[in-house]
Formats: sequence, structure tokens, C-alpha cells
Amino acid sequence: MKLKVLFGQSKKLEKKIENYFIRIMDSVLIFQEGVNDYLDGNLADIPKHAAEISKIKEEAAKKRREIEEFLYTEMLIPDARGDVLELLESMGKISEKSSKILGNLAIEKPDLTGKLRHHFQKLTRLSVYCIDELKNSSIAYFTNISAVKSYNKKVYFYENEVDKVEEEIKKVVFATEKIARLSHRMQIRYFAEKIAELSDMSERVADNLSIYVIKQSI
Amino acid sequence: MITLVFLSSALFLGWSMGANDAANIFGTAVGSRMLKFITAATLAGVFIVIGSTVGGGATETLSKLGSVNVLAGAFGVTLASAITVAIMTKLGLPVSSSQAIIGGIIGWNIYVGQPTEMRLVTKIASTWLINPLLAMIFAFVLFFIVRTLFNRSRIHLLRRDSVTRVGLIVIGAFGAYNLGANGISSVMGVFVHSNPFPAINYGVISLSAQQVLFFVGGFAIAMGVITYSRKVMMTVGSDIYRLSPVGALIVVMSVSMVLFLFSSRSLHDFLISHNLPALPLVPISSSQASVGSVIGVALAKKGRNINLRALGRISIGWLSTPLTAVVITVAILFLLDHILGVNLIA
Repeated sequence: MKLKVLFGQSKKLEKKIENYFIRIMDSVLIFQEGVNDYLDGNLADIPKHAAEISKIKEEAAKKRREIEEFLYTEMLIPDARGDVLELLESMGKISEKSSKILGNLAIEKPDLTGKLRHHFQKLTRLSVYCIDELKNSSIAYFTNISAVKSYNKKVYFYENEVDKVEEEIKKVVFATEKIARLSHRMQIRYFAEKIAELSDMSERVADNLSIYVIKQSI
Repeated sequence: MITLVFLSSALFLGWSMGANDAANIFGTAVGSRMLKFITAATLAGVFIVIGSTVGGGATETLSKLGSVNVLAGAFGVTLASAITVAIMTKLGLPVSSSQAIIGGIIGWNIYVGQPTEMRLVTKIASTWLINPLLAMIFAFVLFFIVRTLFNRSRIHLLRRDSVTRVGLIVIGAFGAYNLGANGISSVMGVFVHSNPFPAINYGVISLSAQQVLFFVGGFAIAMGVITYSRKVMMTVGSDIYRLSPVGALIVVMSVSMVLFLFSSRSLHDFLISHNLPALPLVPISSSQASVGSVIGVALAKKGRNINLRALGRISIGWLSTPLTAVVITVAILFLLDHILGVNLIA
């Protein structure tokens, strides 16, 4: 009976962990929608997106605490418990960061028109791809550990692409005559760096995942 | 009362075996916190008692090596073995109760002037080498089988954890049964010819005199597990190579299989009847099987970070344990015979 309960409970937990990653990804997709809305000039929808992300963030934090409590009370995966909790926390931080960036965009309203609009769209899209691959890698860590490596490769690829676009934005911003004030140039650079940080964070989590995989090899 | 005094040395030997050797079965599981100590100790205790009472196939070989047919003599031999184990443990030298008892029997043969069959000694000594080697091979092969199974099944990390836990319990119980079946001959084997217990028959429960003797020994081993094995269990596993829970499961499987091969009378008879090579039924060291298994897993994982000194220490034990036991047995028998005036002739 206890075994049945144990297997049943762990099945519930498996679902909960997978849902956690999916919800984090949802928040990142909303972030992308928010940035696109901003770039299209739909500023009115941004507070709605920020509120949605905030709600998901709270929900995810609650889920993470439940997972943590269950792992400890049921003494599950003693060898990987710390790694799993660190992974969940890191993913949560990515969502939190994206929410902050969107909030700051709405407050500071940098001028991202013209050529920059296209660059920022690309930067955001690639960062989201990067996080999506990280989500796949994280789920694979639980379900198909041998696939983590190939997902991580994609994370590294997109991170590299994001770096290139970030650099391109900086070059454009500091070369153009259209932006008169240095403070405006620096503000745009700040947002480019902040969005690119999402992929940097993903890269770090992917690095950690590679170590978790080595630790899990039997 | 005098029976209890004479049996006390065997009970002590059994207790120390339980305190030390249960860790070879459940140590990695408890140390890695896959199982609670209380669960492991209860399982080990119950199955060791069952294995001791029902098994005991290795006793015959010990009887062939030397028949200790006086209760006082059996007391002297087991006391000497227990002292050997205690001294070697105190000195931090590797020790095996099974090797100590074999040294003790040879000591008895020397003291009473009985011939020791050298062919049998060689056969027994060869198992000291075969035991860790076989355990290493089993663990090495099992590693690849288990890894392929886990990789192919694409099992969820959490479910793998549950499966490993159940495996550690089931195979641990099998290992504990075999630990009792094999180890009881070291603890009570020399008392078989001077068994003070009668057979019992309570309808459903019916035990021969030898089974009653082995039940008492098994109980002493179980007490050792429950009262004193926690510390050993918490520290075992990391000495030679740090194991993952699945690695721990492989080690437990391998140790259990080796113990089974060296103690199952039915398997032995089956192999012989089918003209297959069978291993001699002798008490073996579960610690050495465990070391062999851990090295097998480590080798399968490309052998990095293995503490090879453990292997050297085992080979030191092959000589030092039986030799020390021979010397101490002769000394104790001399003391019993000449100083205390105890009769050592049947």
C-alpha cells in the first residue's frame, strides 16, 4: 500500500515539476508579447502583461515550495534534491528577470524605433528561443537524461546569437546620428544588455545542468 | 548456565558480525539516505535470522576442515576468532570473521593433533581471492545491464528513485538472508558437533537441533545489526569510491549474488547435478565482496578515483587474520586445558 502511495505521489510530483517549467515558459512568452507590443507602440497592454507574468511568478513560487517540501518530507532523490531545487530556483529567476525588464520598459520608455525595433525584436525572439531550449533541457533532465546535452547545445547556440545581436545593437546605437543624447544611447544599451542577460542566465543554468547530468550518471 | 557461558563467545562473534557486516548490504542505502536506518536494520535483522535458521550450507565445509566435538573447544575456537576480530579492528587492519574462524579451526587441529586437510585449506583460501573477484565481475556486468535498462526505459528521475528504493529493500532483504545463511557457519559452525540444544516442535514451527542453534546465532547477528551497525552504515561506501543510489543498488545485488553462490546448498547441488562447476560452500567475507563490487562499479565508470590501497589491505588480511587466529586459538586452548583444567577431549 505504502509503495502504491509512493509511486502515486511521485507521479503527481512529476506532473507538478513539468508544469512548473511550462508555466515559467508561459511567463517568458508573455514577456516576448509585451516587448513586441512595446515595439509596436501598444503601451496600453503592457501593464496587463506585467500583471500576468507576476501572477505566474507567484504561482510558480508556490509550486516550487510545494515541490521542495514534498522532496524533503518524503526523502525523495536524496542525491539530486539539491540540484533539482537549484534548477527550479534558477528558472524562477529567469521569469522574474523578464518581468522586471518589461516593467522597466513601461516606466522608462526608451526610444526603440527605426532599425532598433527590428534588432530588439530579434534579440527578444532569440532570447526566448534560448530559454525554450533550456526548458526542454530541464524537462529532459528528469525524463530523458541523454537528451540534455543536445538541448544544451541549442541553448549555447542561441546565447551566442543573442550576443551577436546585442553587439550589433550597441554598434548601431553608438554610430547613429539620430540619437543625440548620450544618456539615451546608454539607456538603449542598458535594455539590450538586460534582455541579453536572460540568455546569459540560461547559459549558466545549462552549464549547471551538464554537471547535474554527470552527477546522475549511475 | 554453563552452556550459555560456552556459547557466549559465539554470540559475541555473531553480534560483532552483525554490527559490521550488515553495512555491506544496507550501508550504501542508509549512507546515501535512500533508506532509513530503522527500516534497514529491521529488514536486515529479520532476514538474517531467517537465513541463519534455514540456510547454513557452508557449515559442512568447516566440519570437514576440523571437527570441534567438545563444547569447551568450540568455545575456545570462537573466542579466539572473536578476539582476533577485535584486535585486528582495533589495529585498523582488515578483518573477516570467516577467515578468523577458519584460522581458529586450524588452531584447534594443531592443538588436539588432528590432521588438517591441506587440499581443503587451499580450496577455502582460493575462495578468498574468488570472492572479491567474482563480486567485481558481477558488479561490472550489472552496471552495464542496469544502465542500459534505465537509459532505454527513459524512466523519470523520480520514478527511478522509487524503483531504486524498492530494489534496495527487496535485494537488501535477499542479501541479508544470504548474509545470515553464509555467516552463521562462522558464528555457530564449530558448535554443530557439540550442539547443546534439542530439536523443537510446536506444530507449525518445527526446528531441528541445528536450526535452533543457528536461530540463536542468527538472533545474535540481528542484535549486532540493530544495536551497533548505524555508525558503520553511515560511513560505509565512501571509503573506496563514492556511489550513487543506483550504484549502491548494483553493489547490493552483486554482494547478495556472491553470498548466495557461496551458501546455497540447492544451487550447489543443482550445478553439480548438471555437470556445471560449483563453488565450494564456505563462509566468506561480505566486506571483501562489497569492496570487490564497489571496485567493479568504479571500473565500469572508467576507474577514476579508486582507492586501490583497499585491495592491498584485503590481501594483507588473507594472511594476517587466519595466522593471528591460529596463534590465539592455540593459546586459549592451552589456557583452558592446562590452567583451567577444562576437558578438551570428547
